[in-house]
Amino acid sequence: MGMTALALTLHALSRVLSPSCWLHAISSPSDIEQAIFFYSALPRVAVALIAGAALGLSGTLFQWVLRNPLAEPTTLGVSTGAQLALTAATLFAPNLLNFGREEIALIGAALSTIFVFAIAYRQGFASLSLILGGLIVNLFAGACGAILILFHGDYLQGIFVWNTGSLIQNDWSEVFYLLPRLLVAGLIAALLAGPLSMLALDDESARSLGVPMRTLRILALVIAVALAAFVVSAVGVISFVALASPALARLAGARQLRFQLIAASLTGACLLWLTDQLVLALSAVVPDLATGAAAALLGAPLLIVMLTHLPAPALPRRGDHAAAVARSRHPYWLAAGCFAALIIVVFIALDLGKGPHGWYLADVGELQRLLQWRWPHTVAALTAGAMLAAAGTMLQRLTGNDMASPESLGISPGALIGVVVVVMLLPFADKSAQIAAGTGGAFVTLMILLILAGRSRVSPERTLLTGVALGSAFSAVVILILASGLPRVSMLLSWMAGSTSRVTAADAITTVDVVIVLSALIPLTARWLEILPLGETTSRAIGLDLSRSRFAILVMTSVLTAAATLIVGPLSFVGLIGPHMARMVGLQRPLPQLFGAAAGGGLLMLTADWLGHNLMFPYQIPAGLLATFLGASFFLVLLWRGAK
Amino acid sequence: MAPWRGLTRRATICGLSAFSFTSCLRAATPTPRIASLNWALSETLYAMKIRPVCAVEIPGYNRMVGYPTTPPGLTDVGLQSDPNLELLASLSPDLILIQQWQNALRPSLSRFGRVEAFTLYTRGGDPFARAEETLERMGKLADAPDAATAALAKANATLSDCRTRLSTYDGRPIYLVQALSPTNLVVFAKGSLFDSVMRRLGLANAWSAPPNLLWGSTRIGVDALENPEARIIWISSPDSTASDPLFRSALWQFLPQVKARRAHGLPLIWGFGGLPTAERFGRLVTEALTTDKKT
Repeated sequence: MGMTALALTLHALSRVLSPSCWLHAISSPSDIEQAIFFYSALPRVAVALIAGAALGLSGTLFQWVLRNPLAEPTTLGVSTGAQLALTAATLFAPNLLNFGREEIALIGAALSTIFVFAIAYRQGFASLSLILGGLIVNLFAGACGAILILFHGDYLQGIFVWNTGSLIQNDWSEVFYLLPRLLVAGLIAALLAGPLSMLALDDESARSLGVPMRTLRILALVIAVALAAFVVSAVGVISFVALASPALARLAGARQLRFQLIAASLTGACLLWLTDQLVLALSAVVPDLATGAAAALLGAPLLIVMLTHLPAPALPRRGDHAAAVARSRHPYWLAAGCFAALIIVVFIALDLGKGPHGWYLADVGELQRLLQWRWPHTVAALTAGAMLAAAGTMLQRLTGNDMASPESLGISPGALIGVVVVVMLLPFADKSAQIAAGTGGAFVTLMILLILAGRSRVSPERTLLTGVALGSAFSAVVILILASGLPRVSMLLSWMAGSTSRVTAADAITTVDVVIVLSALIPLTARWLEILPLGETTSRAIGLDLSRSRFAILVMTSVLTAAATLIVGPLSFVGLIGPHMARMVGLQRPLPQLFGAAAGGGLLMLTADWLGHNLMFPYQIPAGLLATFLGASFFLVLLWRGAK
Repeated sequence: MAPWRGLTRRATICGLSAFSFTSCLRAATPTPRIASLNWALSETLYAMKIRPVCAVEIPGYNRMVGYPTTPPGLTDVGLQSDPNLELLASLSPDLILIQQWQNALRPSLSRFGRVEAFTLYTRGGDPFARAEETLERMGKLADAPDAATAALAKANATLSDCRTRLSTYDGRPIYLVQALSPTNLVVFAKGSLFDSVMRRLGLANAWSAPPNLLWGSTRIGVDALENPEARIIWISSPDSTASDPLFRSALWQFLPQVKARRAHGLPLIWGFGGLPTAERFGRLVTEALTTDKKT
């Protein structure tokens, strides 16, 4: 790998400047070719190496301390936090950036890390709860960032560049910024390596050897977080390098932490260097591909392959804390009650709103006039929320996993990509073409999931993690597309964020139709949904045709997801939250849970839609984004309570 | 608090002038009620002195576009990509103006008024010609063909004046760039409004490769500004923390164009505007090139 990178680099460098002049260029550049060689080409290689090494080091520390092969700055939300802090500072306090972009990135990274750890703390730092916390932070920060870009896109064009992780250099300042920080961090890590290796022992025996485990862990994490923040503030978000290099180092046989740290730093440096040189070599064919985005694109398939080779981490099985809530005696009445509540809220949402003169309740005449504007998006939001929640319920029962949902399995982003591709290729694609494309995208994602899951004998954990990986690959594609130009893509952005205001009466009726058809079909799966969470062996023992029932449920789920994603975008948390809401009020059997979840999901999305139309009147915040906020907050409460 | 505290002299004058402005507009032009849902179309309307019933993202317009200024007291109906339909409906517009890229809004907009879409930018197109057509067509739609003719004549007069003043220009090709981040630039290529204005002024664009971003621009690093004989004109970035480090960097300072003092800055000009932006850019670029010659 290093040799390939070296060859590519030498080739690239010799294109910039003939090798005979290299020495001269380094000592004192005299003409512009030499200056480009010295101030642009060389520092670019150096920055790739240093940033890669920093990421490798950071990833190794995270993975070692947290004993989690998936932990790294991007999966833990550390990089995203730093990135969001920088975006917000650019917009609201540009003077702060002159003062110190590093400090801002550090604060953002630290805050998001604390947040993730606070979530995981209650769960005893279980592998999944950390990754899940990171997922929430990523979604949260992604939603914040999307709102900022939606409202100030023209102003924030530079942020798009930052998002894609460009390694272009025009002097040595980034090198001189990163190098000492890497060296200091590396030195501390080397000093920590000895005592940290005790982590391989359990805490008890380590403590009896006189090692202050807690302090050590925190120190190592601080270094890992700081390294990630430095890289973000210097070159932007670069995913995957920190994930892959420790894994590759382990594959190469580095078992001891000391060797792992060294090997992963070297691997990380080579990985990023190679990626960057590939990007440069390909720049004639694929112009405008930033290195960070390329890393994410190259990385996602690798991550998926890695997942199939790693031992699956044990995820919390369904029912761990669900059992805490007593099952309702009258589930159907309860579900009916949920629906009644829903209807009341619908009326409020239709009638109460903000106008040019503030809040008002419309009288009958006015309501008639307003209704034609309000009912399509209200109904569409409601049904979309219900569909996502239903899909989430089915997926959670199918995988036997509390954390499954269309969003977390990457099905929603899959539908999104389908639409994005069609919109970019055919600028005048109409609605039906978009719907078809979205459904196609969801199906393809689902097929990939099924195939990959089939290889590893449909392990729910793998399915979930594969979905997360797919989701991150999709978001890389979206970032690339978004970076390709404003303001035309702002339509796409607003739709992706889940703006419901473009929904016409016809669209609303279409979604209602989908809901009607599927509510007729879904009850047929009730028995499967009851048995499947019991696990493969039990299900098979009872005589369930596993693959066929799974397939049927997944197909239904993907239709639900595609239809919902077209209305509220791929971001919302509703598919994850809805089923939990239902279970919390005591709806645990499949059908009542499905209906309760649908009611809850619909309610959540409806609230988000209504708030979005009124909070910043006349500016509209997309329902999907607000649902992400509501959902994520709700989810945090859930995790908090579930852990007690 | 006493109510008159808020009523300063300045506010009174502002209010009165706004009032006289609107009433005179209304008296002079019995225009249909126009809703402009796009910055480029808003600026074109303002240049024709036509007051729409509403515009979009007015604070953003004032920050990013700024010229011509937004008439005071105009209703803001929200985002260009997601206007508030209820509010828009309550203004009962006769005519709604959008750009082609907003076409996804058409199904919902056409429910309460005539929707007209304009195309300013196409791959490899000539945005200046499109901007002229847009202005003329908007004049007709707004029942103000005279205002359109006048605005068109003014823009063309400005540009031909610029052309005359540039007749003594040394003919060096020009890189037109804007800093995006401390290391990345955007260079405006064929298909951008600025490029098509430069063509009309007889200035050559030093960036000849086709654009790879939408609307005639390409993202590059400083090292791509290869032609040492060219001139560099940079347009201020909305965010100076992106541009300052770039202009301070060693490579930028080493550029032969910069060393030979052939790099000039322009104030912030929005890259995706219509005819008024084109006119303003032409004026500013001519000023930069001619004042430099004197010094």
